[in-house]
Amino acid sequence: MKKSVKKGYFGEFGGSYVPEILVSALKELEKNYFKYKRDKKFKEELAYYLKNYAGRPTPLYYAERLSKKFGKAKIYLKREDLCHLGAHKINNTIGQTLLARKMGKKFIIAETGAGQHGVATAAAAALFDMKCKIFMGSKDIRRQSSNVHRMKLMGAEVVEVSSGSRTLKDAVNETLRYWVSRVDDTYYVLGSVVGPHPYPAMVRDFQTIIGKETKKQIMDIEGRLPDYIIACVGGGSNSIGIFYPFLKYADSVRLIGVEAGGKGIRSRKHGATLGFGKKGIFHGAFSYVLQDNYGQIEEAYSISAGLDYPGVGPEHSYLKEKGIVKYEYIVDSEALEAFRVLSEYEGIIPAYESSHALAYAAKLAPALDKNKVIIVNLSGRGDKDIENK
Amino acid sequence: MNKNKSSIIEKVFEDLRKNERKAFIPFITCGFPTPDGFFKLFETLDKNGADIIEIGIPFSDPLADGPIIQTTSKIALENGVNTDVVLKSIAKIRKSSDTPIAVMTYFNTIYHYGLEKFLKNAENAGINGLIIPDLPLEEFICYESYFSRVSINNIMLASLTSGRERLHTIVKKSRGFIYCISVKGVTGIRNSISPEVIDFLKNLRKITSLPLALGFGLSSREQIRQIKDYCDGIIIGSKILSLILEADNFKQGISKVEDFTLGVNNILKS
Ligand SMILES: Cc1ncc(COP(=O)(O)O)c(C=O)c1O
Repeated sequence: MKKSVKKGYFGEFGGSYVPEILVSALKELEKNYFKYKRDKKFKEELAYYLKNYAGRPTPLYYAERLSKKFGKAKIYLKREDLCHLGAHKINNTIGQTLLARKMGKKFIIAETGAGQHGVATAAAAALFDMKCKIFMGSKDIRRQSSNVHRMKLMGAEVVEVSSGSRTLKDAVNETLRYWVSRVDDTYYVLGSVVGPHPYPAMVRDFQTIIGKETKKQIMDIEGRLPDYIIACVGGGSNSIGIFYPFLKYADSVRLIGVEAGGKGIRSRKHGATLGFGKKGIFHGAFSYVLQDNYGQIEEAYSISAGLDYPGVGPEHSYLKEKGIVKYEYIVDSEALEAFRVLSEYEGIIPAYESSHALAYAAKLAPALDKNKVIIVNLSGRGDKDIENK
Repeated sequence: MNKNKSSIIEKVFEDLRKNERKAFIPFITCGFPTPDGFFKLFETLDKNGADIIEIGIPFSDPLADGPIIQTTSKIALENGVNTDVVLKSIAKIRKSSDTPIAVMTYFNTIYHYGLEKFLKNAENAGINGLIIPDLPLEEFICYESYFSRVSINNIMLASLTSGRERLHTIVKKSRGFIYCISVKGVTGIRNSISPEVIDFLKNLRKITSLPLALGFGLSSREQIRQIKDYCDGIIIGSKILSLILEADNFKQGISKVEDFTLGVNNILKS
């Protein structure tokens, strides 16, 4: 089933496999996004809020003690955990909520897994005075309860989703179903580079600020590009955000996406979609998917709610097939160890999601020379994970 | 498309039209409430005047469906139903019934099976039409050529939000009938029909001679009386499935479905 490359596709991946009712809303979104993307005033406004509200640029920090602990290579951390609300998600929600306002939408809806995207959406909705509903699986509501409180404090309504696996996958389903019934006045702020076109491209564009800053910062500090960039992959937004400006240097800069190995691949309780999934259609896009022999979507598993997702952004599928990015996995216990080490050696408590990227750096570093440079995208802070222990 | 192969589904509407009658098209999920119960439910609908029967292949993440079809899909999957079981079940039904069958499922189940293989096996099993709610026009076009090799109709959906231009292409690409969605929303039970549905159907009527079947949210006789003159058929799923779900036992559910079907068909055939 070969396809020619067309709009909304990354090679054979992507597209817009959605119910007919959503097609016009997605076309409207696409039109507006490509218009405002080039609009000077929109870009200025976005830059203003990213700087003064979200706290950008975030530092690129040389973690000296951590580097020594892991090996000889130099490890830098891109401190997305220092963004307002503690994760990279705000880069995207400010962008999309500004766009929603330009489009004249009154209501904002979003799904959330770890709650970080829900919190970042709730904040953007408060900032721009829009009403907001966040759909969250009941399992995630329990394991990330502090984020539920935060969303409510900022005026969002949290809708509990108790269908299916009661995690991110089902939260996306419910948000899409709700959107189908309110397409006229409601804007869906999708939280990662997944879903139908134009979301994967749009969310990537909003997250690319991470990579742009990183490139400038590492050139300033080291006078050269890094040897490795490591980021965790749930849907794939923080990773594509930091990778994107480096794709053209992929010959010399090794890009590594780290998926959730959960309880181990053989246990079948994991979220390593690119590593062990098959091609298919899920949440509106053609990409890799965890599924059974009849195309039924399987439940993912990870200790980190943000990586607990059986799908992945279509552009990552493309980058995997092209061999431009390498995808690895880290199991729960390795992530927990990295979580502990960073806290102890640097006084930085990382999110469980980001701990997966760190754990991969821990595996990689011992074999490298001392002149090698590794950048780890520290996508979020771990307060949410301690409070829910 | 396969313009030269005559469509069994279109023929049903032609015959009904001669007597100014409307088609009754119930939807049921294969394997619900049990694998055997499904056959009984099919037979009940078939015997009580269903003109075309829509059968769902259950999918784990049915985006276009409300709580009732989500529930029946989940039950069917728990009963071990998969694409092969559905094809076998329909082949079995074909030994005793000629009533046209349209299969409804999400694209991943078919993609995973292999579209070409699915269409061939579906044709052999006796399936006449296919409804794929998450394969809109733009994506369907990439796979269109596979459909031209079989006698299965790809029945496309048209919605209140589709817009003029798209509707023109949708009616050109669709075969069998146009699946007109009566709500902005997912499948389920609603109590009323929005007046814009009448304009929507009138507009479609102007641009196509294909039959128009209205579905999503239809459940009461009142709604059907109100809308039937503007279309050629009515699709009812959630309401029928809810009669089984809510009954004290299967036998009682079947007798409720019988009553409901007779009532609806009386309206559609008068
Ligand atoms: C801190 C953090 N990192 C990573 C992720 C995974 O998402 P993505 O792969 O889109 O960056 C999440 C998702 O909730 C998150 O909260």
